[in-house]
Amino acid sequence: MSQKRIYVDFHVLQTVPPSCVNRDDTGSPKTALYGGVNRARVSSQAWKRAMRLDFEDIFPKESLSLRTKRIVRLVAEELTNLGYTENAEEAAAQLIKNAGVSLDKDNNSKAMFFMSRAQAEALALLGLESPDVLGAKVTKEHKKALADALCNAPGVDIALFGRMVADDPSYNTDACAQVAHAISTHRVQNEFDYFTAVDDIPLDDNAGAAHIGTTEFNSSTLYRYATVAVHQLSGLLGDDTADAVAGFARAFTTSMPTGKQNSFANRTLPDALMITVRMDQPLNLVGAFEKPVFAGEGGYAERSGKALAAHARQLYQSFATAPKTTYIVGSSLSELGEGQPLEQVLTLLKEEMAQLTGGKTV
Amino acid sequence: MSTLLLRLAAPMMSWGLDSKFERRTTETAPTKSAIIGLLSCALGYRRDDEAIARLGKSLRYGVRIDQEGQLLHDFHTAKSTKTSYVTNRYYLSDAVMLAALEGEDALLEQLAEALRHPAFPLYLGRRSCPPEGNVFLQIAYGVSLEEALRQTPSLVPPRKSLRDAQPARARMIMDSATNQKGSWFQRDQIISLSQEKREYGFRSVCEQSIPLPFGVPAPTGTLHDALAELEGP
Repeated sequence: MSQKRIYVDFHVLQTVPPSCVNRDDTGSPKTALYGGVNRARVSSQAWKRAMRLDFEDIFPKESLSLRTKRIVRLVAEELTNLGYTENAEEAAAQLIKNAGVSLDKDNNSKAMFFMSRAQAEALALLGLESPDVLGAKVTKEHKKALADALCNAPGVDIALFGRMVADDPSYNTDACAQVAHAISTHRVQNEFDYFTAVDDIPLDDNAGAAHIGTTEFNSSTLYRYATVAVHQLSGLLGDDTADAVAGFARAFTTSMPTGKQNSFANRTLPDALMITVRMDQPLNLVGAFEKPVFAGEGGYAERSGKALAAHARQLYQSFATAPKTTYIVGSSLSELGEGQPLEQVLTLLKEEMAQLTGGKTV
Repeated sequence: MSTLLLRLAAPMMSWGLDSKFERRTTETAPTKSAIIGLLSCALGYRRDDEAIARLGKSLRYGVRIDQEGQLLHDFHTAKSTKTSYVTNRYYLSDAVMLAALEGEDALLEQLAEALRHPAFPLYLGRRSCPPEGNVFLQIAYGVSLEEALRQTPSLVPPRKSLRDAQPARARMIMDSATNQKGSWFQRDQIISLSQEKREYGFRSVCEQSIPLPFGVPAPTGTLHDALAELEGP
């Protein structure tokens, strides 16, 4: 096991106005208790999905995966693209069954399957090169070749976020990225918006509303944390690692889950972003907010920045060392470094990743 | 024999034991499988490595719950274009645990080094629960598991309560002899973490309530005093 460690930590302070970005089964914004005090929360899975959707704009189509039950169609498309002239759907279904993934009577996989286009293409190529693979029974070697096709060349999203296949756990891939649940730096109490929907054609004798209801919402300054184990990622993506890390950084910084977006128009950008490159371990700085921030004249955002900077500095002087590199965007973390434009930071980060992993720089 | 001490604190953590399918519950304290898994993660062992089971057998485990936290239910959905797959996942929010592992000095030193330079990012039960601050606290040389749990100063400051006469107590759950009074079997002794066939054996554990010692604060990053703002001049 190589001893080299490269951890890129992402710390974001982001203020969201009144909104309900992520809600539970009762429609209430999600919350968590921390430091004895109720906090607003956006779940890890909600923000990861927002990032995955943004990946479609950030990464080229070929390097991404699709999470779908219609994997037969995916493989069939590749077969057709490669010039397969017979029934592509049937052949694709047989290939997938031979790989050990079970299909239902509509030829959909039982659970959602994360498959990259590169993997679908690899399966299709196998089908074209050795027609025996399309038979009802396959040899052990063929099964291994099919399994390899489904495990190698994971898309950038599978490499970063991992994959779980209940049918055949040998297809599970461990994630290289870790995204924490985002929590507010301060106490939050959910509020209620009492609303009415008025009929455009009112009756003469009734001025009342046609519908009344309440929407629960809150507003907060969130601390968001993520880390990428770049030394693990480079084992899966090779030369594409630097691009993947920069793409992850962009998606993590600029994405926003879409919960109740039309009602609240809450799409904001971070107040502050800090990216650290560490050669030892990831370092989550949420402890800066264990003692909840109180709003002063600067609201929560400015004080949260100060608390984060103070906590980081204190840790670097005691139980941890300073990171190898720190990139700052925004002005509220000035004690930790000079703020730079996001685009510049992403370029510098990509270059540093390429250097550290021995990969190419575009 | 010495004892390795770990500080497990984070806004959210989750310790699964016997959950199946769509309802994933949490225990109120870390399971041994979670901790051995955490250490294996730091060491860089892959899931099917037999060294994981051996590691579990070379260490005695105990935990003291310094801050119980609160149960949190997360309504988790995975959306497709039309359908939604729902799971109910439980977490402990705002909990702080002192985990202790007793073993040979050389092994503990190897683990301490691994925790400071983990091969994979560490997490407290679920990937979305990164630990806050450092996990490695210290190695108590020549100190047994039970002594370490009873004597290590509390990881949280004393609660200022009107009823200050009652000393703070904490629950301590430790490996025990099978015939010890009050012990029960918990299925968290790792046999294999392989994706194809996960298997766990039984471990005998016993819970006790012990006085929580407050002293020189343990060397961590954060110490929270909720009532400090209200203190008079």
